Amino acid sequence: MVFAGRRLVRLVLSLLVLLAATFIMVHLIPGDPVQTALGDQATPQMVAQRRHELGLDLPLPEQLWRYVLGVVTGDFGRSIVTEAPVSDLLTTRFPNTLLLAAPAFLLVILIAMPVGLLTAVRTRGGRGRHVRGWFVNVTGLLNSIPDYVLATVLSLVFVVTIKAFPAAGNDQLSSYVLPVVALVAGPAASLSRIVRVEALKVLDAEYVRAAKARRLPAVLRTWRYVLPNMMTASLTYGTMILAGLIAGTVLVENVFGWPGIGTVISQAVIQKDYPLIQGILLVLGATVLILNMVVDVVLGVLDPRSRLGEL
Amino acid sequence: MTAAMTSSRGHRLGRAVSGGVPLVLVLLFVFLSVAAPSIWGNDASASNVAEANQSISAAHWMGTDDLGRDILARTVVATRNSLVLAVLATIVGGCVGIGLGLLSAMSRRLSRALGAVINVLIAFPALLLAIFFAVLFGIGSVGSVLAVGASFAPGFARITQTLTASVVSKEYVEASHVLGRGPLYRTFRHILPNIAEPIILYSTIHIGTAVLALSGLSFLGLGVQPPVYDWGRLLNDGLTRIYVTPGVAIAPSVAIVLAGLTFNLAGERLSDLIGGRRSAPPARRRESRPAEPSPSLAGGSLLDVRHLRVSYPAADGRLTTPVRDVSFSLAPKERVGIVGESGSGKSMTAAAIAQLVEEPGHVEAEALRFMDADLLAPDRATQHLLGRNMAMVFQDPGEALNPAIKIGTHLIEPAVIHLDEKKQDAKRKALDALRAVAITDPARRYEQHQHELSGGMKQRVGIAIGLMGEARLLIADEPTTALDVTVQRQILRLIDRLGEQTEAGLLFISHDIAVVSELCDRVIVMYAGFIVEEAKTGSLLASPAHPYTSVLLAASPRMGLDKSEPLMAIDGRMPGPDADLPGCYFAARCPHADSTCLSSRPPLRVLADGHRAACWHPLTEPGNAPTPEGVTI
Amino acid sequence: MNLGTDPGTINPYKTTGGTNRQIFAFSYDTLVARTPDGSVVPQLATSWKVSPDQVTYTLRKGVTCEDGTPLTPSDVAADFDYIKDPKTLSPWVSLTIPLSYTATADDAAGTVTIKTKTPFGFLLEGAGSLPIVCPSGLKNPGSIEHASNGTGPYKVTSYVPGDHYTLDARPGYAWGPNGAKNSAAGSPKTVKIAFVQNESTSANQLLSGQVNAAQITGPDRTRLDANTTLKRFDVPVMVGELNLNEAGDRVLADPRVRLAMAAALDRSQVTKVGTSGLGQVADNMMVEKPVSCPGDETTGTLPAYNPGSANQTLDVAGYTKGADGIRSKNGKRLTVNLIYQVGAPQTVSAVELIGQQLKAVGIGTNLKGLTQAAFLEALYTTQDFDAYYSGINLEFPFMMTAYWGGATPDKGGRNTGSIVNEDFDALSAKALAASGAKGCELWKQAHQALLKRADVLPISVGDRPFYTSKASLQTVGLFAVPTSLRLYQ
Repeated sequence: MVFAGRRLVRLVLSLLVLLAATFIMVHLIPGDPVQTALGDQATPQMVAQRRHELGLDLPLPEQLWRYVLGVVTGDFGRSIVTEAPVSDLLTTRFPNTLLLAAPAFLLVILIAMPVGLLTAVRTRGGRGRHVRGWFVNVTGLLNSIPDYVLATVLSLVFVVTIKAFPAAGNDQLSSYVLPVVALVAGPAASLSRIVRVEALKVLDAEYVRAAKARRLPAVLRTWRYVLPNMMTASLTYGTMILAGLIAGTVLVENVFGWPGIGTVISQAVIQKDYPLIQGILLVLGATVLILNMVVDVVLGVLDPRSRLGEL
Repeated sequence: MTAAMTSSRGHRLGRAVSGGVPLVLVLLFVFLSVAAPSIWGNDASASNVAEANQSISAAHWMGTDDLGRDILARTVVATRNSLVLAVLATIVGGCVGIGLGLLSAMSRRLSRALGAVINVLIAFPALLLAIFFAVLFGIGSVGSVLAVGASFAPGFARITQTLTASVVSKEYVEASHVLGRGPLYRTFRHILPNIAEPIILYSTIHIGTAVLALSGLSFLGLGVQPPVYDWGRLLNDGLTRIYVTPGVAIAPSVAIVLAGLTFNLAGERLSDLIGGRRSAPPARRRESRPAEPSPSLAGGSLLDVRHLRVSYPAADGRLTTPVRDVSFSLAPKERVGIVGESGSGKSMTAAAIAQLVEEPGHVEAEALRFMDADLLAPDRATQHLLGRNMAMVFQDPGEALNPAIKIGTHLIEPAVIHLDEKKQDAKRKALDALRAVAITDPARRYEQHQHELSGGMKQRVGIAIGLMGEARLLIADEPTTALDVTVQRQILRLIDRLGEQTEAGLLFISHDIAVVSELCDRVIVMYAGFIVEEAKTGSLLASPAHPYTSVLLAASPRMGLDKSEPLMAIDGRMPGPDADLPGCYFAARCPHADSTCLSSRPPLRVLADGHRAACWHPLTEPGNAPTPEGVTI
Repeated sequence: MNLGTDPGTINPYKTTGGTNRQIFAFSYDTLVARTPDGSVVPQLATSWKVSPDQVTYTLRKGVTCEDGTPLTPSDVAADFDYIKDPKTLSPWVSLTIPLSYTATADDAAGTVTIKTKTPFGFLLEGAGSLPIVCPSGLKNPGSIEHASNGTGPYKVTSYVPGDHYTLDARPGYAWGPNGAKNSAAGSPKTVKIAFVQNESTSANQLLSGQVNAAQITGPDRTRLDANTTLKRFDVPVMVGELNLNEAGDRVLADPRVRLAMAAALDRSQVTKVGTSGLGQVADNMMVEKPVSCPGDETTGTLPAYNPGSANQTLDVAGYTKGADGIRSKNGKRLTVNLIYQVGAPQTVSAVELIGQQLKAVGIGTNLKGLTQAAFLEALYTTQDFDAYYSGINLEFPFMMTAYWGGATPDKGGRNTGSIVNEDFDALSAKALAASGAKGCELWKQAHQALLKRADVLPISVGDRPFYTSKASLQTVGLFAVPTSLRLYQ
């Protein structure tokens, strides 16, 4: 409990750092968002007036202060371009991204854990050299295919040629198949590699040998000795994988016209829509940080050692 | 036949791809980076609008772009830009990240603050960071290199931090810290050299990742800008036309995927090389079983080992044999010690008895019996018998306890599983066991995890677990080596006392003949997978027959002395498990060796009652034994 | 229907952006409409009376707003007063009536009269193109940011930011162009305008029948054109145009460099690349169909492709070639900073080709791709460019004068290139007051005055067509006409 509490304090601090960091980063992007929003027909007076309306003519520290106050009260400001409240956009779009990222993440774990573990078992102590060879090559290959290329090829084959799946949108269950596959392939490959390495370490660990020496049944050994220790190591990487997945949605959503947050972000960056970028970054960053915390707490339960690494 | 061929081809291909091919590809990429622009540069930049946007054709194998330039030539020429940018991005990320990571080694407070920052950054999707930095630094080569570099920095910082932490905790760095060297000195003299290797590996793999990341930026139109081009830009152009002329995306896709794969595998290969996974030299032939008398066995022995042999297939498919021929028995309540230097096969012998030799290891024996179970053909009942009656204590007490479960769980598991005890009863018994090994406040310790215990306490727990069954035999594999000197004594006394109380037999493995002789009734000396001598403790100490034993005794540090001193001061090395000699394995180091010793193997002969040695020239001639000359092989 | 990205507000008076206009065209009517052949037809106004400085529209009877209130001439006059109010800062002033004017209503007679201070040739069309907002919307502009309040055929019923608008047909609507209704056979009852950034995705959706219409400009057009089940409705636009910066010490302040640059450009090649082989070389600065003043303006005015003469011009002007083939004068290298917006691959290629062609005569280029925000900032704030590749597309010639003359952005104008071309200024002032064929002749001369000095280099006319699947529509200018939408099986 104390551990979870401390972890929560750290989360809040991290979020504040994130908030300030995104604010500064976003304001460093070149270009005038107001001019972009109003188009090239806008006169300088119009631009100046809009800047004033939006508070963009205030000194930066004051803008930051106002922004922080707003965020705390759930007000992320309004998009400079669409003028819609950012919180509206986040609430309509972010769930869609989650609907894509969550099954993908789950699938990554569900694929990588058994594949990595099985390969580890089959390649222990220099055994199964060809298994190892193929494993390394196949995962390396999957890992090296950019997700947007995979997405485009999938859509070329399954949407345009075979016409088996819808081209875009998220209104049917079958719409999920291609984007999820495109998202999962790379991360699943890299996580299985990590899992294999971690599993090899665990399988060779003295405590697994000791459990064997005590003639504990294989099932118990796997569930109580191998899996928890393998999970702790792999889950630490899991959050990095998740971060990667969320980044992957930016490109994959683009290919499949998925109405998530990824489609918005690249456009928002190009248009320099401050409040929108900040809102998205905050939500994405916060998601990853919160998941990090959840993983840490889970790890703390699974493996009390990890609490020692607490900062 | 066909199946076999296919499978062997599969093996070969698998090995080839993960073996030399990545290195060849790296060389190819390097070659193309250097040479391609001057060889194919003209083809790559010759525009011909009349031939724009063509698909795959004989004139243009991979099609043309919208200025009519040959895509294949452009892909090849783009190798330089793509890889140079990727390497630069990796260097930028590496320098920033390693710098941050090393900074954290300077002081503990810095380490905390930086750790927190790195944790936030690493949680952040790298591509999003890259998009930001790309827009921030301006779209183009410089921007994308800095962007990808910046997005790599947190990862580099994290790995540097982790590696640094493990190096810092090592003694020599601590020592230099104590000696008053500054943090900068420490960083460059001790930390950097020690973390260089994994960092280089990590960087190699990241070059591939950088190629992918840069192409992602190009996909969003934020990568390099014309007239400069890299694979990402070519691919982006190709992808926008992929539905019209799919061929034009092939060349850059293949280049990107191949580069990613190559650096990935090259990193893997490098780590293999550094990890020193070298293959053993071939063994010439399989050994035939030596014709030597089996030890006479007293009926009703607890453990009976006859002609035990443990072998492993080496990398090239042949065998290495860490245990070549071991025969001995152990009577109930008897305490037997096995001594030998590392590599002598003593631990492997213990593992074979405890059924811990795993595939692809192979255990052969004429007989291997424990109580009334045949360990060569174990069934379910055997498992329970072993679980109940054989206990094992491991060398490193910290490593032998599962960090994920409570101390208590370790203790009750065997009782619940092998003795069908209820959890409550098992817990009561576990608390007794903890008390028996002199652990204070057992109820609290029961709920704790291994990291909360000291080394000595962990080893006590290890022994306590052994007490949970109805142990008839305790196998202790170097149980004190990893402990402090004072703790060592306590543990030895504990084993001694508990042996008395439980009347269990003891098989005690150690490299320290002094420790063994203090505790055991009988001592077995092993060398290169063979038993070279076996005798009652008193007899062995008084009159060692094998020259090796005498060297061991002479070199033995008494208990309480520093264990880190070299065990022996004789020339030469013990033949490894892959050696295959016709004669005595000790001959090369033996002051008494002659040509017989080199050509034929001495059998383990009985020299006196209960005293056996395998030597043509034993130091103590037995009266009733045949002379060496009398034995023919 | 798929459009590119969510353009933001659909308050008609706040924006004149292309995508915005396409969306609010569904909900707002104009006084008069133009047909594809360029003639003016009744919409909200059934008839009109026009003189050089005054136009009187007679409103149709029975026109109602979304909320059911009837539209009166006073409401229309209020709209005209609203956009010219300096507090409103509506960009529509310069697009409708770029002069001072007064608007008066006669509710009894059902007429609205606009009177300008000086004669204005396009008064009927200009004033007639203002989207008419209903009074309650005008009073509360915040309410129509993402909703509608007009008299148009469709009403916005829902909006998901960045994703889509849904519009429903208004019952009883019968005052479209020339009395068009929204209840014809095949007229959709509901229109969903979805924003899909990736054109390939839109094309896939068209091919799989997931959407009925989408605007496609890139390479995907080839495969859509090849598909016989789809229809194409062309929207011609100026795709490639080099606008130059002639300010102070910029390299292009020297007219000889500009002329050499024009002669160095093989416009047909750049056109081929910049339009994926689907466009034509521009010969008129106005491209939007119906072209107000059609005809060839470039022949004989804009220097033709002739690298030899370009080299000669530069030699004479004192720019000497260096070792790397780039010219310089007085130690200053002749390098043009050419900026463009990132995104479309054909733009990048066209710019690259321009760079190659300029290099052939010794003019170096710095190609700089910018995001939309950075691009506009370079144009209107920093003016740090020598040339930009883009197209200026507007309906009437009078709208364009501000781009090549008058105040620079720092003075509140749109003359990003600091161009001072007295002939152009004088001719366009005259043209503004003239109408009909006389006006067109003057506009042509004005444009030619620009081309002769190579103040602007129009290159290519392309197409931004709507493709439809199981649907048809009609386009006027840059937009699909809402009442022309028809679905069929």
